[in-house]
Amino acid sequence: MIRFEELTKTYGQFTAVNRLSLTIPAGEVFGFLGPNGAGKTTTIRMMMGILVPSGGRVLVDGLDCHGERAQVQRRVGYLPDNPIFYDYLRGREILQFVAEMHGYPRREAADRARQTMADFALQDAADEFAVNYSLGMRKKLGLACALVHEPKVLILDEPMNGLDPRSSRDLQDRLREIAAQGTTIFLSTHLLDIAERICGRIGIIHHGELVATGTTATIKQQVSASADASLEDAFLEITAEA
Amino acid sequence: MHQAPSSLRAVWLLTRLRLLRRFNGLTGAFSWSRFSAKARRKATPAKSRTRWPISLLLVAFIGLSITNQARQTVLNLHGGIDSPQASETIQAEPARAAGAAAQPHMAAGARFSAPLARALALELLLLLLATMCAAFGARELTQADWDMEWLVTLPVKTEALLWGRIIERTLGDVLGIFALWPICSVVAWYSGHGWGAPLVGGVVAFALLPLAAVGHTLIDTGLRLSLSPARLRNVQAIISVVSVLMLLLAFAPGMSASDFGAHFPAFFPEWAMWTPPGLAMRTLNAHGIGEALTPGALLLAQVAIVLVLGVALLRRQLRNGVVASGARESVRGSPAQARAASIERGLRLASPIQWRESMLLLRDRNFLVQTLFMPALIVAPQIVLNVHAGEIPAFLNSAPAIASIAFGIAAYALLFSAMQTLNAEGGALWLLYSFPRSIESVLREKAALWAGLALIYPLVVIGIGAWYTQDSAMHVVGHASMALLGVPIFAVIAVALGVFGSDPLAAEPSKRLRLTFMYLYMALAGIYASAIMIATWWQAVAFVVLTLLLALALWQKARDELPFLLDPAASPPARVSTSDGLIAAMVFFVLQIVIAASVFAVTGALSGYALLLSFAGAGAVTYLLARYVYWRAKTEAVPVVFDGPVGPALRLGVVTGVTAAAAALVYIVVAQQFGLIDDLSANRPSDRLTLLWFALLAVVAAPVFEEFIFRGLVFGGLRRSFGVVPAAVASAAVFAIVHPPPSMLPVFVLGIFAALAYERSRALLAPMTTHALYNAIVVGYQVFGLQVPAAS
Repeated sequence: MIRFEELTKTYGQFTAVNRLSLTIPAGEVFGFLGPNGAGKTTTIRMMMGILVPSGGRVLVDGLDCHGERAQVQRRVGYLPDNPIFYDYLRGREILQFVAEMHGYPRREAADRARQTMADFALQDAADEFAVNYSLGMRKKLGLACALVHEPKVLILDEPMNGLDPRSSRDLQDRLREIAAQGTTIFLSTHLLDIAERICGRIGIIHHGELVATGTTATIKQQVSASADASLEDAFLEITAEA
Repeated sequence: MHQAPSSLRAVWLLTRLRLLRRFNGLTGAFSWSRFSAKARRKATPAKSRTRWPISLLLVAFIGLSITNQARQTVLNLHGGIDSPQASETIQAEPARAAGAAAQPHMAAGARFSAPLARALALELLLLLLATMCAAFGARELTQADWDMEWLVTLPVKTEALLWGRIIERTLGDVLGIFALWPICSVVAWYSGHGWGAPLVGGVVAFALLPLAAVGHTLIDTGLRLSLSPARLRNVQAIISVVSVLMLLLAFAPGMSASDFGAHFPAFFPEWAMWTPPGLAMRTLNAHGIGEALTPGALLLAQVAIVLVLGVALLRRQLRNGVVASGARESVRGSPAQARAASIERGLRLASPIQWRESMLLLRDRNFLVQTLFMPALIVAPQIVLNVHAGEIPAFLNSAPAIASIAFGIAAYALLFSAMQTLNAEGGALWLLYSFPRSIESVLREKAALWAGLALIYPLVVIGIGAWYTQDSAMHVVGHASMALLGVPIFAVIAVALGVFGSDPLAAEPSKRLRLTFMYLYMALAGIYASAIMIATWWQAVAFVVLTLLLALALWQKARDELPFLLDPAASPPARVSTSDGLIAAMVFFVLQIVIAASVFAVTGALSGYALLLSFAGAGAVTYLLARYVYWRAKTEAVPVVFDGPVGPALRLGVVTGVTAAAAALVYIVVAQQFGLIDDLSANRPSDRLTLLWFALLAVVAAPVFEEFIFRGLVFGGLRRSFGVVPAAVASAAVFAIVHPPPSMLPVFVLGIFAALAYERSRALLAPMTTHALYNAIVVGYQVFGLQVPAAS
């Protein structure tokens, strides 16, 4: 479903992402882990066509994310790490706008918006200007925008960042539901316990290079043979500065 | 634990921080670390787009124009106040009003009369108030003041913070400096300070600026703390309107030749000369240090008192904490919302993007005022002032003037709406990227919306003008249509320039639109507006076509840029685009005129030979320039001369060339019969060398260079976005326009054939052959050919 082919991004002398190659089959929940500044957000932005790859390419459902961005967006829902919304617009208006921009006719878009807001328990705040939302509510609204068109692929950039425990748990449950329906989920995070809980496979990126891939069990085994090794230890070991 | 800094040191540190921030902003990406190869990346380096030499030029230019405006103001006030007979003369002879004969003159070093001093003091007061109010135009007023919130966590007394803020606002208030310094300097000049005038003016201006800073800070803080956000927006809109009115009032005396300024002294009573603006005037106009000492010292004392009082007031305002409500108002359940909801339902007819833009317009009162009311606000007083001077009959009677002004208002409205359209997305630009639509189609819809809204004004103005004017209906319709056609074209230009000029990654909203492009837009709009005024009908048609082409070219370039907007490091690969062709055509056009004029100046005659030389010369220079630029930028798909077998290309060129030449010959014969074209055979050069040179220019030089520009660049660039026929017609039109009028039609035909030749062979050899043959046959015929008797 998602295929990275030697994806590279350089800024002058500095390489942010270095020849990333990876394949993610449909229906998988893939966790993209890494320290700060490792290149996670850069990779995701290249998938969304916001950044232009310096080399290689990334394909979603066989389509090039840079060359055929508009087609790719039909299949993709995106949640950035800090969703900022338009000023002077209410939550439900923004959601309806997004649904209409994805091609739904007006009435249907309005219905979808209402339904999705109810799903996310946002109907009370629906008439509030989006700029007044707290971070958690903005993330929920962002996720609603990402899901309103029932995409095949969900791309999330640090979705749990800044959420309180209940919201975080709600989000995890929802992601599991969505994955169970066959959606491919690609999420970046540095919260290891959550990655362990919801991801099928994880990949660890360090200084722009993919240094480890596999299930959490596989990765833990790479570092220590004992059964109760934590992912945290494994992660710190793998991403230690040489 | 070490000592907290003393208040004085804290103020110094705060001010230094602010100035450092401003300095960094101005010098932008001019970083030294780029020269060190081992620089570790700390954060993503910005694209080096900040061109500070241009900013410097802009500053110089603005400074000069404002100084000139100030000078005009002083002179006009002097004329209107001190010699009322002169102003009566102006009233009675409106035609001479603009002439130098009625220009008031003032000797430097003169002591101002009391009324004049009062008028100028009022002027200073208006500018001061305008500066104070103008700072509210920015949108940030309604957002929480994180700055203050963070600063109060430092171990520094609140007074120090407040002093620091006021000092920073004094020193860093660019608008205030531009408003006050020039006029103070001009007044100082006319008071006889000679070359020290700017210095003296600067000292006085900086003595007055703290007043504006205090006022601004007081109102700013007071408003934030006491008003609900909804009221805040309304107040902000009102204040920005007031500031514009003040500025207009201040500049009014300098702008028209009326005696408007003569009323000024009446509004500034004599006792007010003891207030800071009056004292400033007296200091400036004083002769010698002794005389200046008293008003100067008083001025400083008064300013100091205001500052101390101001800080005390602020301290009192902030005694309950620094944080305001900050949040936008809750929109649920208020009765006003019910009414608004019905409007919103009606607006649903538009596309989602257009609906969203309209929502923003309706709900953001400040934006509404700026976009839709400001244009009227700026132009109406101009008209009122001119009415006052007795020019109303002339103005309303003239269709070109009405149309020109109508277009001007629309262009101004577009400056604030269409040009900002990408910027208005702000931090939510990522949302646009997540839609399954090209950003270009989104921008197209926005351009359509703003063009529609901007048309309201011209339609109204033209309607009123058409009612009053005595010009013929044809006249009105002709000029009006040029103005109305210009609005959608300039909407496209504004959006395209907005794309170039916007920097969505910039953190500060005010830095987001680069001034250079706003200036470019204003220049283009100004040229179009003057063209409406002065062009004959066929010039107007040509102009509209050219502007349309320019708009399309800019749009094409903007479209290239769109995928790279949010990427701080990547830029679109250099490609040949229509805009390159248009620029090359313009350079060619200008150079050709210059060369022809030089030849004329030197030889005193403008022979056909001279014309040919100018064409070839201009072509050569343009060609070389274009090649050089492309080589430097490593542009891809630069037009090539040879591509594939030479034989078929030559054959194609011969066929098209002969056809075009035949058509041209027919045209020439017919035109000579009717006396439309002179018989050029009289200009046949006599000696062989000149003949050879002549032939070389006509058959080799001109075709090679011109084909590169008009077929390679213009046609090739157009072809990237359009089909063969439109691209051929457009490129041939541009080609024809740069030739002298009698030869436009056959040259247009040549252009079409050459374009077709280029299209078939994909290389320049064929069209070059076409052109060479055409030149050989047509020019040869005209110079050597049969003498066809012209109609008498």
